[in-house]
Amino acid sequence: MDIPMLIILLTSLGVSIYVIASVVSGVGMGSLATAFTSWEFRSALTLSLVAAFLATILAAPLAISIAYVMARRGGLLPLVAESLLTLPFTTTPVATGSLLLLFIAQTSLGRWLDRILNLLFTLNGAVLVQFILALSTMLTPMIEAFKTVDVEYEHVSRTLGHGFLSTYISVVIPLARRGLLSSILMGFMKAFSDFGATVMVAGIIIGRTATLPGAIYVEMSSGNVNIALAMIILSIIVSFIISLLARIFRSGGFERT
Amino acid sequence: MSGLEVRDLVVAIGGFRVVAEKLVVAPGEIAVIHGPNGAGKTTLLKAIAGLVKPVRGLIVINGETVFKAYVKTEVNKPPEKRWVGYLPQNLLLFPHMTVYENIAFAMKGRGIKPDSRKVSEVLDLVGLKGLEDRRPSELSYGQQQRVALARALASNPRVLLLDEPFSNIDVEFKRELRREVSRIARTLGLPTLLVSHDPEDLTIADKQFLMDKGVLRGRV
Repeated sequence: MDIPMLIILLTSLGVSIYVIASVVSGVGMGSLATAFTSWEFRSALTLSLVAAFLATILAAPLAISIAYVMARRGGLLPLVAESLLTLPFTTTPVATGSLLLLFIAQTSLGRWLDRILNLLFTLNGAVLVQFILALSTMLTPMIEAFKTVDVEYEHVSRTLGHGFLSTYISVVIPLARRGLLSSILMGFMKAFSDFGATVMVAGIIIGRTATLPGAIYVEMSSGNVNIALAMIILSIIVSFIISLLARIFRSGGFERT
Repeated sequence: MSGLEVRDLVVAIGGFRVVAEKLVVAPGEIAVIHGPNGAGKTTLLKAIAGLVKPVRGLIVINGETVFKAYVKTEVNKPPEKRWVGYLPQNLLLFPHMTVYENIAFAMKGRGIKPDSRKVSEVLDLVGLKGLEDRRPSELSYGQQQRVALARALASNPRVLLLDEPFSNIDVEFKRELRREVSRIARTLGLPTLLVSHDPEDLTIADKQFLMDKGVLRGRV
């Protein structure tokens, strides 16, 4: 039996369950059960899933393309580009959101985009913000995933008569798939859990733009602790599952050296 | 001419230069380039395969000019249009594909519709049948070498480029594989260029060359 691993697992599980259970007992199970079926809860969950899913679907192909280009180049330029593109991930989200809000509201290009895409205080705005966050989150792990694929595989594929695109689709992507899937899940998680950037652009309009983090803030501020707690518990469950899946994909199963 | 012809080729990588003044390999002929590690043998193979761009020179494969540059580059065909069968030193079988899929992938690259009969025929050529459903990781190194050779042959090449094909295997199997490569090259009439640091590989050579500090010297 792996005693050290068991201690780590039981301790982390114990602390998590203790904290959640003690809060739940304060609110009451009945009240919590009602909260899970409330309109506010279902609406925030739906908006969160829709926004994060759309943002991830839109960001993933772009991130994969950029990451591949950067992974196959050496020198300072790719590092500078990567640092720039991951700024939304490394900067505090509220700064990213504020900057986007000012850009959309105060510049002619931003206003034009708002007219076309209807961004401010809408779900579209939330998707745009989360798209940027997901993209910047995915980029670095995707670059690492592509770097693990020996460029010689591409060379062999080319000598076998396959062009760049066929090689990219049939050889490079499948060989990097674990890292790419893990990166996509991490991007989804970033989008799903964002508060600061999303609220700056989309606001927190319950039923229209309030995703789970925003809705938790509103419900806590309004004293609806049971609804907020239901949302918190769901956020924790989703985070745990996505995080576990991302790690399983990244490590290629349950192996660990 | 059919076969492989290289003239006045200069490849520069960083501060290192590889120079091949004249290299001609006729159909069914085996040319072995011998030389120590780091002498530039692999670079020359890659230049012929189109994986490294030379500074100047001429490469003709089966009568078709695939690279020509003297004052400026006039022709530089990409690797997929050179019809070379390239066997890299570390084999590089695609680990996410089965043996069948590795061979079929090579056939598809040349517009050949793969089926089990065609794949079996190619595997039979290298004395390896019945392993179609295995992944490369489930094969011995010797079997992987044969599959990599089969994959290179499945792409219907006009020239065979082999980079240290007999390294990392035991002496007995090395002899056997040498005989097979020799037989295949002659049976299919393929001009074959083999690079090696093992003097034993010269035993199957019709032509011998020495690569020394980036300069190819003929020793026919």
